[in-house]
Amino acid sequence: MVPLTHVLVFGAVLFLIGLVGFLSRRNFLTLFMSVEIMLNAVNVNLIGFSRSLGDTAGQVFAVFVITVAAAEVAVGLAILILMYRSRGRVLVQDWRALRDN
Amino acid sequence: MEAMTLPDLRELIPEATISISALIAILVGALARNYSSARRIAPAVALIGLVAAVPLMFAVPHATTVPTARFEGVFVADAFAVCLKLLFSAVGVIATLVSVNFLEAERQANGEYYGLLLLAVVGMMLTASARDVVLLFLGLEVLSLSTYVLVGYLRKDPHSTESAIKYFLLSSFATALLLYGLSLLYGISGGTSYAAIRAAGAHLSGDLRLVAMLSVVFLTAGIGFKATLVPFHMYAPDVYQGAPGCVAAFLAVGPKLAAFGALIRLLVEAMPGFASEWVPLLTVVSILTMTIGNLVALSQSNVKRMLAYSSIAHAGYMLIGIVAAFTPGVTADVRSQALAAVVYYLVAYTFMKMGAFGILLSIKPGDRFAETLDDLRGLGRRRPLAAALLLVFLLSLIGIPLTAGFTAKFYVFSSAISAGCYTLAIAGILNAVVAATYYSRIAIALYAVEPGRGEPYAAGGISLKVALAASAIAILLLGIFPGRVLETALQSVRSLF
Repeated sequence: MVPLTHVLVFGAVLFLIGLVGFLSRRNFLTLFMSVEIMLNAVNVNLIGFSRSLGDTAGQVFAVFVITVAAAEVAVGLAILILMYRSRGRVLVQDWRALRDN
Repeated sequence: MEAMTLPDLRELIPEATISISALIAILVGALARNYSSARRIAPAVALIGLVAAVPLMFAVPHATTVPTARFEGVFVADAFAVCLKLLFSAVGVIATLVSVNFLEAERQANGEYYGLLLLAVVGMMLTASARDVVLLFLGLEVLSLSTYVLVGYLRKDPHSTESAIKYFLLSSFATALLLYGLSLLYGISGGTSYAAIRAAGAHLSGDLRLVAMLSVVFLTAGIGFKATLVPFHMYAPDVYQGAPGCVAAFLAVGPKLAAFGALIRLLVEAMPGFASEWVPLLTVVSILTMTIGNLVALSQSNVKRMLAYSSIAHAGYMLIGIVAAFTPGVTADVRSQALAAVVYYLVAYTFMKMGAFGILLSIKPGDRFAETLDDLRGLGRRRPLAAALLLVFLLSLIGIPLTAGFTAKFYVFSSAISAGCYTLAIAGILNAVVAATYYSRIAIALYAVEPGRGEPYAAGGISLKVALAASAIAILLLGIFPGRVLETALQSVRSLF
């Protein structure tokens, strides 16, 4: 059986990859995927804890996280299409009309 | 596990009513042959759903007396939840009323608009009743997913799209942070219910304290995003400015109320053992939120942005009450008074902020609704009634006596003093003085002698007028007779302990 520490370190690394990706990339799709990676890191944590605690609540939680992530994809891709129709590409730096002057 | 019976579902009836009205509104929008027939039915369905939910909240026999917990304690309809849900219904009603004319003016289909608005209200209600982090997360997500679409509702308007992009990306990022915090919390407490977390929090030691600290930081990020706490406030001015005006009015209030309601229940029922982690963090966040919100608002010329920064500052004031309530060593009496002050502040904030955003929808110089200070210049002579209403909202936002804003600030600051948080009280009072200057800039522009550009003609219809007048009356009543609402808030907060 894989020890809990390994699972948590894996989750933390995955979370950091998503975090760094979100903070450094400029493409909407990549940013979106970075958030999905972070959500999957959460799922890894939840399932790891769930197994080591012998408690199913964490797995139920993970299923809900997956469901909500799917709903977010639906809305996110709709916004992506709006961006593409308007500018012909999906880079976030094209969208700077709203800011402090 | 006892078998679930039909009576168990009774406490969900208000949420179910609003959800069903949401679905009906969406159906009406989809089935209506032409634009004109749906535009009257959908908002009516929304209003009926929101108003019908109110008596149903009290129809549950236990709701106001004995707090009951259903679905294995996941969902609770105690006096605190009912009190917040009443407020959330009011938010939904005002948001519906201010939206009618806006959507007509923009010639937008409105069935799904009201459907999403109602679902957002349902999400807020779920967070108020959540006694389990899974339901808390789901409530916040129902709220977020609906508002993402509402923010980007004007598909052809690039500003609306831009604010939807920013809101969606940053909000889903904040959700990921919140979830990571919740997953750590689950790990150290061995359960997702508030009761399990509370039990674990009572005896944390060594390394577990560190993990608890980490999870508190992540939770502050996730909830702080919804409540626009610094440093998670950056999105708010951009999103409120670009969002359709009626959505900005909802967004400045709805998610913030849900976040504060959830924060209060989380701190009281789940995390009293984590107070030593929360209190220093929230103290710093509160001071930063007030100060940065007010200082940046000073230099704004766009009223929507100015109101966004002001709503950030108000989140800081509300946080003072929460810190006061959980400062170690306060008596139970001071604690419930501080939390009641926060609830009272939420009520006052709802009317003054939605009113201020709503006024902008009643003025239309040129082809866009009023946004800048120039648009409002000289309004006092051309539209005396609209100017007078805006003045009431501004006076309340400043915190002038006889308005709700004053009593709310007074209760929060005095609760901070009785809890011994003098730094916070002083920071709050100084900030209130600074804030008065930029609200006065709007008031001065209203009654300026030289005329502004464009002709600020009336854009609002009857429903907008009703919403604005009702908000102004509520502010004055709350300011002159605060006792009744404060007493209700106090009772509702006591139901938590």
